[in-house]
Amino acid sequence: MDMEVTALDGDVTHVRLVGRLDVAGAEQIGVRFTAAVASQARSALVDMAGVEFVASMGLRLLISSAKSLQSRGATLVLYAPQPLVQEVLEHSAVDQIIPVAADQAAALERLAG
Amino acid sequence: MTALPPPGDPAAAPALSLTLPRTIGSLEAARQAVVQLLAAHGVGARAVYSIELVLEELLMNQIMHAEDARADIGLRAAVKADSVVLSVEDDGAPFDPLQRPAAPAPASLTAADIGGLGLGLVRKVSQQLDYQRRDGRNVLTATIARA
Repeated sequence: MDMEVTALDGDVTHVRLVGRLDVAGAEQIGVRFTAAVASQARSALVDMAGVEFVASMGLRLLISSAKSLQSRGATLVLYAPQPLVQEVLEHSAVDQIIPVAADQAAALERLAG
Repeated sequence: MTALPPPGDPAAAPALSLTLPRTIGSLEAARQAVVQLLAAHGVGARAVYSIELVLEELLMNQIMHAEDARADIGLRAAVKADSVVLSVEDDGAPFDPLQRPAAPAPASLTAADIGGLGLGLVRKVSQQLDYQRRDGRNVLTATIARA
């Protein structure tokens, strides 16, 4: 699992994830992801286009980070999930509690709205 | 792990049976063995994803929760015409994980539990999911559609 963090204008953290967000992947990036995202009071966008797989352990990481951000008054938005990953987000109803957008522009709009 | 027939071999048996140590490292080893079996029998991408998901959830459940199980985890996978059947077994005390009520969909991010989503996902992607106590072992079997 690879992770790339950049800063966007407007004080937004951008994270690009590539690979499998399975048990091993979540463990591999967990500390860095939490440090980059959950420990800041800045909203974050997560580019999911390169994530080929996610199951409950990966969802745990996303949910706990989203909760952390929310408690600081910020928001986590996921965008561009692959179709099968999107289905998992729907099956688990995670898409009801974490905003999921089609692309980066739409994700930024979700932050503004 | 037991030996497998070469991939793409038309005479390859559409099934595998493995004994895995009760450690995190077994997840990837099991996944690779199962994916190799699925590829050899032309199982499509959507079914492969569902099977990988069920495999990860059932094995993690074993690794995290079957504390009193002494022996390794048993895994069987069989490719059928319309479905793939996956079963995971252990020799621990009788325990049916399906008795736990399904977690309700969270009303909000604040109210959401971080965990407990695994079983719900397995139910969503499986046609059938059942538990049996057989020969002193807990056996959990999931059937996933190939279509």
